[in-house]
Amino acid sequence: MPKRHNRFLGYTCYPLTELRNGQVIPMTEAIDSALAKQAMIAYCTKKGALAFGVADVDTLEKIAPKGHGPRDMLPRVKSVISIGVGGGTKGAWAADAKTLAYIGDTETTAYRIAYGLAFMIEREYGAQAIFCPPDMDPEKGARTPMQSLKLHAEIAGIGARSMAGDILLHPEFGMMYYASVFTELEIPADVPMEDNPCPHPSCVKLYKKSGKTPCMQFCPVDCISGTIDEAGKVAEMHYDAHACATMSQQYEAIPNMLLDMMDAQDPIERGMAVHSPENQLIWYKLSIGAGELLSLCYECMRVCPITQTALMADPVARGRGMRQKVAEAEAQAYAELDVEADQGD
Amino acid sequence: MAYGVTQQMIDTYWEIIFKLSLNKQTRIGDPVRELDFDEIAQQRAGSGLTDEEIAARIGLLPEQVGVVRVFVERKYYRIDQHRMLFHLGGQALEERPVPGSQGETEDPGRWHGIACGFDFQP
Repeated sequence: MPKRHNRFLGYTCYPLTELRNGQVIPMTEAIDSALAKQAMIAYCTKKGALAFGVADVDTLEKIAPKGHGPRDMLPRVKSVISIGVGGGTKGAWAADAKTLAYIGDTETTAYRIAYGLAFMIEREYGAQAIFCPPDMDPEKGARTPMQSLKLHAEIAGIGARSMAGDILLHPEFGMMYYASVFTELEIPADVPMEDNPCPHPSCVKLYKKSGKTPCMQFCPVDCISGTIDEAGKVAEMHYDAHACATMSQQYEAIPNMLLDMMDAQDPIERGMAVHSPENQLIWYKLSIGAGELLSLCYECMRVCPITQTALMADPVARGRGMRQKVAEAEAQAYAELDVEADQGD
Repeated sequence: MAYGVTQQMIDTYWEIIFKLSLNKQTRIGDPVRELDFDEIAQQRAGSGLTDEEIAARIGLLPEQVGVVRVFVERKYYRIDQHRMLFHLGGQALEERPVPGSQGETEDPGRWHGIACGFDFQP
């Protein structure tokens, strides 16, 4: 379908409507959805996404609890798109935890791409789209998300639940950060991954020897436990999210700091409730907007062999892999040219 | 207290509310990836319920469940816990014992700072 100049919008795009038998039909019905999906993948890849998948809305609705399905957020949603981006450098994983807490997190990249994708869909296809807020439900407090981005990504086939508190892992990219886009454009859905890369064979071996996987062993607050069956698959996974929260959701410390201030018995105690080195850092992070107040603890992922050794988890290797692909594509193109030239002769 | 929640109500219900909430999550097998809807339904309570779902089970209002849940979450949240992070990773990582090796430590240079809990060369 050709793009046309839209004089109201002032730019060239796919037409938003079509006149069919005297009736104005929304263009979303005439769009080649497979091609649209390819264009979206190209957009997200160009912006830095590693993985792209589409989750089936009906499946999500079946699994998500009432009030947290995609249609609760966008009633006419037809597709839920999930994208994944990679983490920091290999060196970041070797740094001390204080440093990793500042530099390990790349989730904002995923949000930026998803935000752009929502605009791209509206501009190119005339279908409504939203960037799904990765935030907590304002009615439910600090631990209940509006939507499960994890569920979106899993159903879209770009991650599988791990022993490490169900953090999603990908066999090629290891741990990723995810973002979702909801749209009224219907595009072909993907299916969940056929296999789960977790547990890694070395984790199974360690479990058989010690009864623990690396993520269990090195969690500083013992929030992960579980069992692995004879086939080397996760039989049971238990996750104490409340314990994990004390390490990874520092924003929850703020109300407690205020309570400590009010409960303080003397001026020194009150002063320390505000000005102790750790608490000063919270004010620092809040005021300059740098340094994360969440995702502070990465110890389970630091020791995860899938996260650390997945083929494309390392950004440098990823670059090398892409260069290799380009070189192969060039060689293939030259070979085809040679064949054509020979045939021409 | 908000929504008629009393201390007695908290004392009576906090444990069950906390256990059923997202604060405690259990997964058996891999039912979501496998799209095993019966198993997903079977495991709903273990995977963490919403306030509405908990309320329906124990006969309180969702708002009351929310108040009790947040009260307990705050009680369990230790403000100083994250200090543990200050001593993890980096040099500390290299001094970690290999799990299962009874406190035996590995050559730090061998692991390049990546944890040494598995049997492969990074």
